[in-house]
Amino acid sequence: MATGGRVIRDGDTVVAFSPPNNTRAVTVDAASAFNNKNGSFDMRDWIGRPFGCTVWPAKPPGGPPLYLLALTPELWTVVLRHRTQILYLPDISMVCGFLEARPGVTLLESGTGSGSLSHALARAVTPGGHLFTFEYHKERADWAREEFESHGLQEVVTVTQRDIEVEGFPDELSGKAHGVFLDLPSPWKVVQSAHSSLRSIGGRISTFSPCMEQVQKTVERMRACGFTDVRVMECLARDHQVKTVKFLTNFTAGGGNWEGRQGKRARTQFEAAKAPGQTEGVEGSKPTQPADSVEGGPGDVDAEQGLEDEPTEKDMCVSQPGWNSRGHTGYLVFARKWVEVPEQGWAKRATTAAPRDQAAACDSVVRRTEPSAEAEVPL
Amino acid sequence: MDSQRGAVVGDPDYIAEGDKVVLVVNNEKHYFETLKAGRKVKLGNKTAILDVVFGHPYGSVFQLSSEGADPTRVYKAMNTGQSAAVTEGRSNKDLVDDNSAQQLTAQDIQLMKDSGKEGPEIIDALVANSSTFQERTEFSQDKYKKKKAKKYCPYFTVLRPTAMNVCEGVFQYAAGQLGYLRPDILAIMLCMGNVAAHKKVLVVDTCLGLLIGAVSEKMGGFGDICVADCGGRRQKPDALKKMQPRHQNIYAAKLSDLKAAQEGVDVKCAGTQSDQPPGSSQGAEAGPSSAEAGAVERWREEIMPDNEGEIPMEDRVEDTQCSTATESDRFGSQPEQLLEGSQRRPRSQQLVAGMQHADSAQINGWAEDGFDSCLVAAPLHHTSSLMQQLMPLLKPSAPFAASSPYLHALVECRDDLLRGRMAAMVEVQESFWREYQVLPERTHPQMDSKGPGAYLLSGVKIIFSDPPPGSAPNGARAHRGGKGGRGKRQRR
Ligand SMILES: C[S@@+](CC[C@H](N)C(=O)[O-])C[C@H]1O[C@@H](n2cnc3c(N)ncnc32)[C@H](O)[C@@H]1O
Repeated sequence: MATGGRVIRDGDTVVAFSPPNNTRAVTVDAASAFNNKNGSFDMRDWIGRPFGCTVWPAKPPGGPPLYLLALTPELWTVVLRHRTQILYLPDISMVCGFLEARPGVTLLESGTGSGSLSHALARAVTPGGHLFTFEYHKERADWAREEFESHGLQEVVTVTQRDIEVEGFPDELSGKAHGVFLDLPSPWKVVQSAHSSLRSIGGRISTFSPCMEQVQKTVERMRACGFTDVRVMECLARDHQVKTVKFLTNFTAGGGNWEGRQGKRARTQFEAAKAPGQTEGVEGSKPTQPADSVEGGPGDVDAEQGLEDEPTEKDMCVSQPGWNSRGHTGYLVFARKWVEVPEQGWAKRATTAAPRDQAAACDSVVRRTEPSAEAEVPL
Repeated sequence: MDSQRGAVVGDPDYIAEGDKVVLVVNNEKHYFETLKAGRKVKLGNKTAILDVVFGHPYGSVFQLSSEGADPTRVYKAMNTGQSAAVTEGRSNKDLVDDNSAQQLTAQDIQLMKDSGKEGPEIIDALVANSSTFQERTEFSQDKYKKKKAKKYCPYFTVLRPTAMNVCEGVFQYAAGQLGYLRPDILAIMLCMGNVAAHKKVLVVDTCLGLLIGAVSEKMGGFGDICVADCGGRRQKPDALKKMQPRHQNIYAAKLSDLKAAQEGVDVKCAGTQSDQPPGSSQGAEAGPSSAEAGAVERWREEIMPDNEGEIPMEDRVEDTQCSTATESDRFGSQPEQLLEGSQRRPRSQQLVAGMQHADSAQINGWAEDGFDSCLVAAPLHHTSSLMQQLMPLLKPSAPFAASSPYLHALVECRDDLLRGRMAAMVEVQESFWREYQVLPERTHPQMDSKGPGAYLLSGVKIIFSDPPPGSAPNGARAHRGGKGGRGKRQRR
């Protein structure tokens, strides 16, 4: 078993996961207890244990366990306190991908909102890059700044309180950004400012809007302001629940499903063979409760079954589309800044003589910036 | 110069000879090219020598107007589709679509071309000779002109070969060989795996090396990528080879070596930092044809004497509907057949650019520390069995993600991981992705369907431990319920 990995210390943020689907961010405090609906956990016991460990409640003893996970931007999106609508995994992933967020780039974002996207962007630009994020609501800006700091991202992210729709992005950033992302009520008002903030080569913009009317105005502005390759898309993820279902294989036993008492007896027999929470018949499925066979429910039903003759049922592990499709319903817009920069004479001469040695260039990057503690993504 | 400021090291601003690029024709079709002076390149229905692109910035657009002529850079922003939305009074109700409207014949057009007429002139002629053009709505006129423009004066954009660009392009031609790893799923996977600079990432990739390239791009040259060789057939790193090498830190290692190192066996693996000729590294214990042969032999590329051993993507038979998928018929045979002619020729082999053998110190180090993250795109490796092998190699709390075109493979894997109490928050999901055309009063979902995408399994590794002794037996027993379940499963 791999032994590496961080150890939990006092004051760390951990993600406490309680099966089947309860997740909470907890700041470890050795002097107190963590309580959830399953019991009370003594946080003193958590210290010195590795992230990813299992802890059991002090009260009631033997109650369901808790798993202590290290924070990642994805888990943060799940556990953060919603101050606003937030972006979820599919949209966040597409923004990171199509905005070409990568180590070394400078990105601008507005509004910061609850910082759901910001965490993923900060991870993507590290090391060497920077995220400037703007929020006009003072408390939200302060709150986000505090969170970035407690997650060790203060070197990578700068939060500024500013009304972007009115003032635009600051002049100091003009021509500096590789990418701009807007999640604002009227993004079209900021398209011009975003255009001047972007580098003249390789600049990309992305916006998120819940309504198509917003998208239309934004896209029109983008085309008028010198953006090209405009793409509008939506991306959502749907979860598939996995469970073990008992299917009836003996089609003669019992019988008379539609006949009063007899039918009732047959059904009772069938129900008895089911383990609560573990299996599911044709009827009475509870859609909101993912039947999480192992993590959630107790019960080994082998003993109770007592079906000596032919087996009348067969277990099968199956999947079913879940009810929660994640992703706030909205549209993503991506576009590229039209490149007006002329051909570069020297580059042509230099490169036709000797193709540049890209591998060597990369090599020098690696050597130049040796992994250092502060350059690392803390999440 | 403004554009030089803030350039990301390793990502050039200007196009140069030797660069690997993505050429997107008419904003639709992706072509991949390693730029070489004087080389003729086929783009759509035209061929051209692309030397004029050298020295221009990435993202520049070029027009291919007439056959044989150099492409010309387009400086004025091309934003079509701004024409007025609806024209009252005109409609298409009288249009008869029997191809009789166009008075010009194919021969006439050919004559125009031969006499050196350029694309725009041909389009004007087509419009002038269409008996119905004036009766069309403006919307329809616009559409007509655009359609003709695509054919007679195509344009192309030169883009850097980012993972998303390469993924999107290769997916058009060879979705099956990519394991249906669509750009949206690739993007979600990289996030779920928490891939970032300075991490140690374990990758299993039998999907043309796309995942390796994408991980490398996200890490920007910092940290380690360990490509685990988990058996199976030789890999064709066709997607990886289309990307620019970013990274000197891609190491290949046999899964068996990683496992052995973890069990405390002192691994004397074949890996050396130098690139040995194939076969020689393995010594006597494994024959060259054995499945166990050379740790990274599978990632050697075959260098043909003339061309770069690359099968042009467009020559590939599109791999779409296959009901019976086996390694040979599905993921390999078609390119293999295409290769056959050239295979008789002598060839040398070398490791894919940027990849090297892991040495035993590294392998032992990884085995001891564990990986920060694990990503798997190996549709024909039994997902559950593979994950059972990989999980112990990860640090506790490490996130992981595996993609597969087969929902069942992931469903079973999730069940097994949960029953074995190896992971938490294990989810199987599916991604839905749709594009829209947005134009004044003409907004609608895009026609081109994205094609089926892979499913995605993700989760976080945990270390399960029993409740402390002395705690009430009730709850504890309840929690063993799952193990009873496992016994049942094994009988299945
Ligand atoms: C939907 S939220 C952004 C959520 C964010 N993307 C996330 O994932 O957490 C929009 C934010 O924009 C802020 N906002 C609205 N108008 C603004 C403006 N003119 N300037 C700056 N911020 C603004 C709001 O206060 C709100 O916090």
